[in-house]
Order: sequence, then C-alpha cells, then structure tokens
Amino acid sequence: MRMFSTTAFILCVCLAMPGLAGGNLSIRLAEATPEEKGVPPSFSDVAAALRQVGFADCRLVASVAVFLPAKNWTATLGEFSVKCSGPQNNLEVSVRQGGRELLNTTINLQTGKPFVLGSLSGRKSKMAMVFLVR
Amino acid sequence: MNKLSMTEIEHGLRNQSVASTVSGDDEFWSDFRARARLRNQEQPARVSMIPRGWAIAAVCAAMLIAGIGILSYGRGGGLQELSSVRALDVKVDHGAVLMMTDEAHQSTILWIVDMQPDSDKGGNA
Repeated sequence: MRMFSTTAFILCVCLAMPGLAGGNLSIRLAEATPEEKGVPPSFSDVAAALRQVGFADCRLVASVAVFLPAKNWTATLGEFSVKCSGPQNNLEVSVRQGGRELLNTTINLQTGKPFVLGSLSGRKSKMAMVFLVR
Repeated sequence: MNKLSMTEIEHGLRNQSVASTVSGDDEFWSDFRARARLRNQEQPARVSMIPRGWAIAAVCAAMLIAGIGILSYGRGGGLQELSSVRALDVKVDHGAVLMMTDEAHQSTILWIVDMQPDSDKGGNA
C-alpha cells in the first residue's frame, strides 16, 4: 500500500508538472534592413517565420525575457513598450509607441511555437516582435 | 553462608530436573507435528509508517493536482497546437489585419497592414 501510494504520488506530480510550470517568454524586436545581411544568428530559431513576412534581412534591435505568468510586466524594446499580463495560454499584451497605445491583444502561446507581431512602423523602417516561450 | 558439597548440588539438580512427559512414539510424533505446524504461521501484519487514511488522501490529492495540470496543459494547447490570437484591439488606424499560421515552421503571424501610429482614430479588428 505504501509503495503504491508513493509511486502513484510521484507519477501524478510528474504528469502535472508540464501543465503547472510556467514558461520563459522572450520578446525580440526585429527591424527590416535594406542591406542584404540575412537573418542574424539571434533569430536563427525563428528565421523561417521572419522570412515568411519579408524580414529576410533584418537586425535585432532589442530583446527582453519574462517568466510567465506575468503580472503587469512592462519592458521597453527600442521605441516600443510592451506590457504583459497573465498566463501563457491567455497572455494579454499591450504595445505602445511614444506613449500612444497601438494595440491590445490576448494570445495563447504554445511552448516552442513562435508568434510574430508586425508590422510595426519604426522611425526608419518596418519592425516585428517575435514572442517565443521556452 | 552455607556451603554445599558437590554431592548435595548434584542431588539437588537431579531433583529439580523436569521429568520427560513423552512416554511413547504416538505422543512423540503428535508433539512433533504440533510443533511443526507452529513453524509456518502467517507473518504478523506489517506496521505502516503512514496511516492508511493519510496515504489515500495523499494519492487523491496527487491525482487532483495531476488532473488540474493535465487539463491546464491541454487548454494551453497540445503538442500539435500552434500559438493563436484570442482577442485583438488595434487602437490606431490601419489598413487590414492578417492572421497567418505557418504549419511548416510552426509559427503564427499577426500582421497589421499600414498601421498609422500617429492617427487619432482607433479601430477594432
């Protein structure tokens, strides 16, 4: 009985861990560049997604990371500020630029599946934000 | 203190010795079988360190946690599910909103066309 209880407990906790554990969200700001530099190594994990939206040549402007769930977490990425709140599967994101609110969105982020938000208008060129949970 | 002689000690011990009660073959074998039966008695029940009620409660609690975890994992998306948009509110003028999923690269793209950050007029998509 004791052996069974211990085994069942460990098994259940192991099964529950992936669902209970929060992920580490990284947000990277990419800027499309006219120079044919390709996708930098810092975007190697989402290079295909960036090429898909015309960011075949780009550079990393800024990156931040937050552990989810977030509680009104705010960060500045270049000329944008991002506010995140909530768990990974119901993350509320607010993007501002120069004090002006651009958009609010609620996203369901899957671990290892990038979410690209564009096209944001930078001072010089188009920009995109890449959200990825690890 | 009295000192006993060796003869007295031997005599005393002889008198104290238990007389054999086995008098014949039948009695001997019946006694033997009775003792043999005693050898394979059931082991006494093991005393558990954890009371049974607590063990059951712990297993139930673990199963409940597992259920919640599995359900939240499932809601969060299975292994095949891509990231998705639940709600969107674009606060500035824009041309169109494109939502794309790239199955090949397992990515989700939300593309807002012609966003006018300097516009005053908001809009919902």
